[in-house]
Parts: sequence; C-alpha cells; structure tokens
Amino acid sequence: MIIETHGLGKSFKGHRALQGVSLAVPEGGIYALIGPNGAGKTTIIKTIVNIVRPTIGSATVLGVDSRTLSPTELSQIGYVSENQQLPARLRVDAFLDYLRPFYPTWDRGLEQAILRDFGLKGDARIGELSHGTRVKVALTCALSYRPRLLVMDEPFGGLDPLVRDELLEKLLDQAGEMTVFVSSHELDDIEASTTYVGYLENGELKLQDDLAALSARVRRVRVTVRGTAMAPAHPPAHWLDITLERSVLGFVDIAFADDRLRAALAGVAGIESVDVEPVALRSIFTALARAGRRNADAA
Amino acid sequence: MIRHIVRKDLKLLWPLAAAVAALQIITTVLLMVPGPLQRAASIDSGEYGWVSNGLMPLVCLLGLIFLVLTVIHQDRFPGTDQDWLVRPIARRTLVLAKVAFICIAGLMPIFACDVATGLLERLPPGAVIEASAARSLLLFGIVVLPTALLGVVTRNLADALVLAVIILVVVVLGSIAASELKFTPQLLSTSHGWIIQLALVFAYVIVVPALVALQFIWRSTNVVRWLVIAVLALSPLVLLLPYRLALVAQQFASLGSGTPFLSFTADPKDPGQLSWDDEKGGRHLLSEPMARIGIPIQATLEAGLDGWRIDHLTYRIVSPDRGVLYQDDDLAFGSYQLPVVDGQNDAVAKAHAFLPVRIVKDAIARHGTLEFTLWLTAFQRSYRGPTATLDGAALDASSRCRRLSDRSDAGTKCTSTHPIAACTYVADDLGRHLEASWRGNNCRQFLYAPMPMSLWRDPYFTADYPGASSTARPDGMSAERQWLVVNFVPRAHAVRALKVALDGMIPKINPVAVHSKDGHGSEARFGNPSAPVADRQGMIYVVDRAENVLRRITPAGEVTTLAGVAGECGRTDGRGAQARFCHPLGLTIDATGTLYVVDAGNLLIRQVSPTGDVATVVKIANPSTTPYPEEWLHDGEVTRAPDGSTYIVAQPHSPGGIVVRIGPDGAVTKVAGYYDPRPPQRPGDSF
Repeated sequence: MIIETHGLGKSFKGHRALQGVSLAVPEGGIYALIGPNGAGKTTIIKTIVNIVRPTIGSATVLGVDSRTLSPTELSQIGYVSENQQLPARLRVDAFLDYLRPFYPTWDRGLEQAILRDFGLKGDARIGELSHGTRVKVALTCALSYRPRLLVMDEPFGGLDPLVRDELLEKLLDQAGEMTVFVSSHELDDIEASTTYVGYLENGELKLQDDLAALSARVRRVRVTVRGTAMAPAHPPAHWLDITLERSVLGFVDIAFADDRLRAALAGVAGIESVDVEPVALRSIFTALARAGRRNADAA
Repeated sequence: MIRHIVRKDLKLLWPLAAAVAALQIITTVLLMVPGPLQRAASIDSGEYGWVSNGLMPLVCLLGLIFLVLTVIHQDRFPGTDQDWLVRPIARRTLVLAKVAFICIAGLMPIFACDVATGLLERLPPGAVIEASAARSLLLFGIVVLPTALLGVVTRNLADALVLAVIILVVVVLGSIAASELKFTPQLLSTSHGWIIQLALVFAYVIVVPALVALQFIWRSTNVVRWLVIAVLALSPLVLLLPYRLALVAQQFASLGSGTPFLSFTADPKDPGQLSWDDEKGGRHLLSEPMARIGIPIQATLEAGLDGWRIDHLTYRIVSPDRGVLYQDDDLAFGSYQLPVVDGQNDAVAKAHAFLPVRIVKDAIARHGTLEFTLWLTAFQRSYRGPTATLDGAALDASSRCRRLSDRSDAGTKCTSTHPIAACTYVADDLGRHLEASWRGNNCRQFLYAPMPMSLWRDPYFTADYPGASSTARPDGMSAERQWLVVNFVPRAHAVRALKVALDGMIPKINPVAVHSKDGHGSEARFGNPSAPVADRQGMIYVVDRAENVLRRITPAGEVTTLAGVAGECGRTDGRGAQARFCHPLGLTIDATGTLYVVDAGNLLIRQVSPTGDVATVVKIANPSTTPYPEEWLHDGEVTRAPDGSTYIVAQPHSPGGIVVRIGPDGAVTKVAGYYDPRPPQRPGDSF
C-alpha cells in the first residue's frame, strides 16, 4: 500500500474531525475519497502529507510514518489543493526555477509540455492569475517531477468546466505513472478512471472498495407493485435512498446480491417487476450522503 | 537548498532590501559629509541634527525590523495551506535560509557601512572589521531574533505589528508600574549595561530556537504566540539580575591585578593645520578629506588586558564657561561613531575615536580654548583620561604628561600648574563603580590604578603622590549618590584604608543596613565616609559626613567611633560621644597625631586629640572677597599648616578651583585659583 492509515483520529478544540479512519490505498490507479463537506477529507490529506499531526493513530505514506516524512519522500509526492498558497509575487517561471532543484526527477521537457498544453505564460505573476490558472500552475509543479504519489485536495473546486476538463485531461495523461489520491465532489469525469473509492462521513470511513467491486455490488433497484407501493417496515440496512412513487419502490442496494434481494423482497406483496441497474459513482455518493444525513437527523 | 530559498526571497524582496540598505548608506553619508545634518552639528543643537542623529538611525532600525518580518512571512509558519509545507524542504533548512537572508540583506549593509566608515577614518582594517562585526552580532541578538520570533507566530504583517504593539504596551505598563512602586532595578543606571545586553542576547539565543522548534513541531500558534508575548514582555526582567551576579561575571571577565592606564595621544595643535601622531611616533598632517572628518584620538589601555575588551569610548568637550559642549558616548545603533578595539594581546588594547574638526574649530573660535577629556570604558568600567586644553601651552603639558604616563616613568614627578590636581579613586556605596580620574591642567604623574574588581581580590598600588595626604574628593559625581572616597596617603596605609573601606561598604547593598556601626572588617558600616588620613601608627581616620562622626580604623580593620554620635548633629565640644559634629567634611592630621576636622555644618574647625577630645579651634568667618564657606565647604580638601592656618582646596563650581586659607583667627582668604560664581555644570556629573 502506498498509503495506509491505522485508526487515524484528529481533534480540533474538542471537535473530532477524524475518528479511527483506517484506509488503504494500493499503488497505482486513482483513489477517490468522497464525502460531504466537513466529512474530514482535507484533514486526512493534510495528515498524510504531514501538514497536520494526528491526535491518535498513524498514517504511513510510501512506507514511512507521515510524521517523519523527509525531503526524500516529499520529493516523490505531488500535492495540489484548491487552497494552496503559492508565492503570489513570484512569476511562474521564477517559481518553477525555485522548485526545480528540490526535485531530482524534475523533467523540464514535461514541464514545458504541460505549460504549453495549459497555455501558461512564464512571465505572469502568480498572484495575478485566476484561481483556475493557479491550480494549473500547482498541477504543473506537481506533475513535472513525475511523483510516485499525487495527492489532490478538492482540485476542481470552483473551476469552470473548460478548465476542469483541461486539468482532468492532463491528470489522466499522467495517471498511469503514479498513484493519485484525490478528494473531490466532481466525480463524474474521473469515474471512468477511478479504481478505488472511499466514502468518508462525519470523520468516519463508511465505505472503501475497489470501484469495480463497488459498482458490482451497488445497484439501483426499482420494484413495481400493483396498487400503491409501501415501504417495508424494517428495510435492510444496505438499502439506501428509499423512494416511493405511486406503484414504484426505489432504493439503492449497496450490498447487492440476487438471492439476497429476492429474499428481502419476499415480504412485498404484488410485485409486478423488479428492475436492477448499475449506479453511477455520483449516485452512490449521493445515496450514501442522504442516508448519512437521515441517520444524523434521526439521531 | 538554503541558497535556492535565499535566492527566491531575494527575487521577491530585493526592492525592500535595497531600500533598507539605501537608508543605511544615506544615514552614514549624512553623518560623514559636512553639512547641516552631520553629527558634528549636534554640538550647536543644530536645527536638523536630530534627523541624522535620531530619526535616520531609528528609521534604519525599523527598516531592518520590517525586512525581517517580511522575509519570515514569505514562508509564514502559522497555517496549513502554505506551499513550502509540502515541498521537500527540511524545516531547519528553511529557518537557516531565513537567517542567511537576514544576514545578507539586513545586516550586511550595516556591516559594510560600519566598515566603510572605519576605513574612511583610517582605522586599522582588522579592528574595523572586528568592531563592525560585533555591532552586527549585537543587532542580530537583540533586534533580529526577537523580531523573528514575532514573525513566526503571526499570520501576516499586520498581525505582527499588532502583536508588537501589545508587547510594547505590556512593557510600558510594566515600567510605569515599577516607577509607581518606586522600584529601581539594581543594574539600571549602573555601569553594567553590558550584562543586560549579554543576558538578553543569551536569553534570546536560547528562547528563540526553542519557540521556533515548538512552533514547527507543535504548530499550535495561539499557545506559542502567548509564550512569545510572555518572553518578550518579560525580557526587561533581566534588569533584575542580581547585582552580585554581575560582579561575579565581571570578575570572571577580568584577570587579576592589572595596572591599566590611559595615555592620551591626540595632538591637535592647530585646528587649521591639524596633525596627529601615529602609533609609531610619526606625525601626520590631516589632509582632505580627513580634515573634514575629524581629529583621530587614540587611547591606550595597557597591561593586564588579556580577556578584556574595550566596550566603548567616550569623549566630551568642556568649555570653561559653558560646561559640556559635546559628548559622544553612544555606540549603539549608530554608524557615525566607531570605537574600535585593536590588538588582543596581553599588553595593549587601543581605542580610537574621532573628534569632529568642525566642533574643535567652532569651539576654539568661540571660546579661545577648549578642554576635552577622553573616557575609555572597558567592559563598561570607565576611566577618564587627562583633560587636555586645546591651546599651545596645554599641548606642551599634554605631551609631557604623555611621556610621564609611561609605566617606566611612574615615579617621575611632574610640575603641576593647577592646585587641585590630584588622583582620586571613588566608588559608590554599592561598590559598583570605581574610577580613576585626573583633574587639573592635565600634567600629573600617572598613578597606576588596578581594575576595580582587582581591588577586591588583590589590592595593588604603586601610587606615588608627593604629599598627597588629603586630596581625595568625589570628583564629578552626582550629589545624590553615596560615594566612598579613598585617598592615597602613604602607600601601605592607603591600601589598608581602601581595603577596609571596601569591606565595610559591601553590606550596604542591603538597603536596610545600618549606616554607622562599629566592628571589625565587614561587620562595620559607614554612612558616607570621606577624607581618610593616617597617623604614624597606621591608624586610619575618616569623617562620616552622613552620620556626623569621626571614625578610626586600625590596621587590623577594627572600626570604632572616636568622636560624635551617629546621626546626631550638634556643635558640642567634649570627649568621644559627648562631642557633636554637624556635617563634618575635611580631615587632616599633624605630626603629633592631632586631627583637624572641617565641621562644615557649624562653620568650625574642630581639633580632635588621639583620645577623642574635641575642641573648637577656629570659627570660620564669612568673607567678602571669596566665596561663602557654604559654597565650598561641601567638598573641600583640607590640610593644616604649622602656623595654625588651615588650607582648604575647594572647587565651588567646575572648572574653577580655589585654595582658601583659614587663619588662626578664622579669617578666610583666597590663596589661589579661579572662582566662578555661576551654578555648577560638571562634565562628570553623568558618570
């Protein structure tokens, strides 16, 4: 595993931002960490790159405890965050000149190619760039030294679709060479390339799986009955986002298995048809988020 | 990696760094080049002198502080979104890079200006570099480190300024509270300022890295910033350092019984044709632009100097009728004056300063003559050199004095033209300051004086003062202080007297100590003893002007009250405790061992037998041709002539001095000297 956390916990002034998070990111592929605002995604990422020290538990990155990351490991980790504060008064080329000596693997050809693709001008002051362009600069800085691990914290937040597409395209170009650990709300576009996904809620990791496996076991189910559909008195815990529309009972089954669904529907009278379809990653996230919110309201 | 970070910061901050450097250069140039802003103008309280002497150095200092805060905030510490946090930069590397930047962009210009100033003044290059580096180091310790501390716990410059104001308010409120509580730290207003500076530097050197490390590791800015506020606000507490600790430190800094002295080698014969002697005896004419800068003055402190450093050098110019015209004694944060230490061998250290020509010319044109006195401070212990007068005759005397000041000529007698010329050693009641001073028209044989601390351990005197039986007086000391005056009488006795007196005054560090108490050695207490004299048996007598008693000190150090009652003022004759004095001052002794006391409060000359019988022998009359006794009896030195006349050497107002004869009938006549009826304005008052 390129990243592993063990019972990671972090408290800020009594607020528990993370509670016993144990995640594992295998090397290669893209790991998407999803979760609603305030779930603790940024805290996990900052803990992984040793910006924040965990209150309890530990994180291992590139085989090293995150608290003891040395320049050697950091030179293999790329980091892009929507809140990253780049030196505003430096020009882009001066910033790249500054960073280059810190990374033995820096590839100037790649740097120039990315700059060209992004249409970045070297003589522009970073502070005068738009938010999207600053993220492009940050991504250029992160990709140019071909990191083993690229950590991205909400990199697409606040970007217009065009810029987001450019970033994604460049990211996906390079993704084969490295492991990408990304937290983002914008999952539609990276869904095709995401290999692992983790779902974080209220500082707890609710779900973590290979995306293919997750897709295989999450299904949207629509049950059509004669007359008016009624929700079961005690629906299974793995049914999320239960909806009733006249004669249709809909839900997302996050532990889908044919026989198990059949057994669960045995108590439902007058079933006319059962439609089962795959669920997009965004829908899984939405369903999980709604369920989490309902549980919180109930609590 | 440090280089890359420094280069990045330079790219970002070069305009600010250049501005700060330019300020420093402008200040230096203003102070060097003749004009209304030159430091020399301050003698006349010039209209614009405050710009170059006060405002510009302050602006330079603020510029340095701003630069430090700015460079720290290029990669600020508080927060979790800074780019440097995820770069492969070791945190210690970042800190060292910031330090390097501050040294290069902040301190280097100051250092360069200091060096340039020194070299323009033709000072030895090695000494110039040493002195300049010392000042830069001091700035680093006392200014840069605490400023950097503010920088690492603040989120932006505005935050840093707010925090600085908070600290300032805390310090000011603390000072006001201390003032209201009548609290005066022991080290304040003493000659141990260097200890405060060293303590601050030492504290910051320890505290700053600790807090920075804490901030790095802990990253709990709010907690650390409160710690920083506490540390910076509590910094003034170094003033509370125990005085005895200071003494111990000072003692460590000295090396036993040295015998340093000053030789004054300035030779400004004619301000129009200025010349000076160099170290090898060569004479040089001051050439342009040297003449525009100043007359080089060199003071030499010789012998026992291993481990000593000359701290700074002060010179002051005194006009006969206007008092102190000019004084230059401030080394701190000014590049205009560059006292330099030259030579670190065991034998000699030299200090250099410049007497601005403009001042000399102006003063001589205005007053005809000009006295100036050179003070040299080694580890904040001040020694005052001979007072020289800038005219032809005095210059000759000065030259002669210089020859006689050579150690090999210690016993050579020198003709004095001034009746008050004397060598006096004084110490305050806390023993904080012991000073060798030379009065008069500068030509006296040089008396070797041990370093003050040496006295405590190994008194060593080779004083050879002809007939100096009663010439001690507190010279130029502030009146509100309690000074112990020690006289040089026959050598062995003088040593003993000094030793006993010093032992006796040590306990007075305790403010509740009894002021007058008989006893042996350290058990004894004095109020304000003065005018020690010795009889043939080696008994030392002193009058205690504060306690109104006459005290006797045996060679073994046993102190007893011979006559008078401590604290009681009166004019009764009688034996021992039956007698009363009121503010006794002068004391002398004749060949039979009979003592004569100038009882200033009663305007009497009192005779005291060795057994303590007190009788009034003369009533001093108020004369019409000389100053009233009330004016000069406060510090007169007295001797008794065989015909029953009493001669008092007095100095009503500096620089005038008179010798007064009080005849057997009490008639007062002036024998010699000059009397200036104007209020005193003494050059040494601030010392």
